[in-house]
Amino acid sequence: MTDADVADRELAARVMGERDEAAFRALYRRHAPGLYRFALRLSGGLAMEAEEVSHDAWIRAVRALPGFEWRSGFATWLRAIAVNCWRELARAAAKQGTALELVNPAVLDSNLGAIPARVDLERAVAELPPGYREVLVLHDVEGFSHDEIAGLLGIESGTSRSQLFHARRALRRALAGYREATS
Amino acid sequence: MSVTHDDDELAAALRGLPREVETPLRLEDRVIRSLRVEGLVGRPGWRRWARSTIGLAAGIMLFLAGMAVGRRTMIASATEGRYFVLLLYEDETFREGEGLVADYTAWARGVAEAGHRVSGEKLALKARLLGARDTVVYVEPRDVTTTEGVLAGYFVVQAKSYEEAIAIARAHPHLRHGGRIVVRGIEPT
Repeated sequence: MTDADVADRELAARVMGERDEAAFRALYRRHAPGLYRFALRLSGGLAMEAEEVSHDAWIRAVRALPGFEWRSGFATWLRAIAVNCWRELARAAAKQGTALELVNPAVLDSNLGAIPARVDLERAVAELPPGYREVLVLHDVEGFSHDEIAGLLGIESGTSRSQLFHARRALRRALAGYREATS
Repeated sequence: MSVTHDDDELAAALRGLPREVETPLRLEDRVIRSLRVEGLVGRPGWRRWARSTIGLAAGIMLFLAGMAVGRRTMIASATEGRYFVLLLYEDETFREGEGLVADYTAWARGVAEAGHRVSGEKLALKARLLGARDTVVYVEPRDVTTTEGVLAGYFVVQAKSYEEAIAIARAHPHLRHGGRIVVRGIEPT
C-alpha cells in the first residue's frame, strides 16, 4: 500500500466515522482534478456532462465508502463509479434524444495550446464514437486491463479488445486527417 | 511529442496525456452541498452546532409555552395583511448565549403588541430526509443543512407588506445571536 493509499484511507475513515467535511474536502482535492479530466475525456470534452458525472460519482462514492474494500486504489474505484455515472447519463440523453454538442477542443485542453500534437490527440479521442472512446480512455489513458474493463462495462474482455482495436484505428485515421489538413 | 501510426507509440502518447485538469470551482461546493443534504458530511463543528440547535429549539418551546395563548395564534389583532414566514437558520457561528429565551419572548410580545398576529413552532431535531434520486430515509439527520445553515425554527407573522415583514424580522434577536432569517411570503389560498 502506498503512502497515497494510506492518506486516502485515513481521510475516508474520517468521512465515514465523523462525517468530517474537512476530510472530505481534502480527499476531494486529491482526486477531483484526475476524476474531472477522466470525465471530460469520457464525455468527449463536454464540460457540463463531465461536471455531472464528477458530481454524481463523488456522491455515490461517499454513499458506498463503507462497502469499499480497498482492493484497488481510491482513484481507480472512483473512475469505475464515474464510468457507470457516465453511461447512465449517456443512456438518459439518448432516451430523451438530447443532441450532443460539438466538441470544442479548447475546452478539452485550454492549457495545452503550446503542444499541438496533444491537442490533436485529445480532439481525436473526443471525436471517437462513445463506445470506442470509453474503452480507449479506460485502457490506453487510464491503464485498466481488458478484464477490468469487461467487468466495468458488462462486456466480454474479447469485446473490449475488439473495441480497442477499432478505436485505435479510428484514432489513427482521424490524426492522419488532421495532419493532411494542416500540411 | 509526435503521434505516429504505430500502436505502441500511439498507446504511449495516450498514456502520456495529462491526467489532471483544473476543476470548476463551483463543483466542489456543489458536491459538498449534496453531501450535506444527504447527511453524509457535516459542517466543521457540527456537534457543537447540534447542541446549539437543541438550545434554540428549547428556547422556542419555552417561548410558546410562556405565551400560553393558544398553540398557533399568540395574540389576535385587527391588523390586516399578508402572512409571512420567518425561517430561523443557524450555523456554527450561532451564539446561544444567555437570555435567549427572554430575548425571543420579548420580541414576540413586542410584535404582538404592535398589532401583528404572530405564531411559532419549534422544530423537532429528528427528521426524515428523502433524496430526489434514491429514496433515502435518515432517522437522525440532526445536521440537515442548507446553504443558510440548519433550520432551527420558524415564526409566522402578519404584516401589511414585505417591507414591514422584513422590518419585523430585522428586529428579531436571532440575528444578534448570529443566526440568519429567511423571510418568505405565504401565498394566499
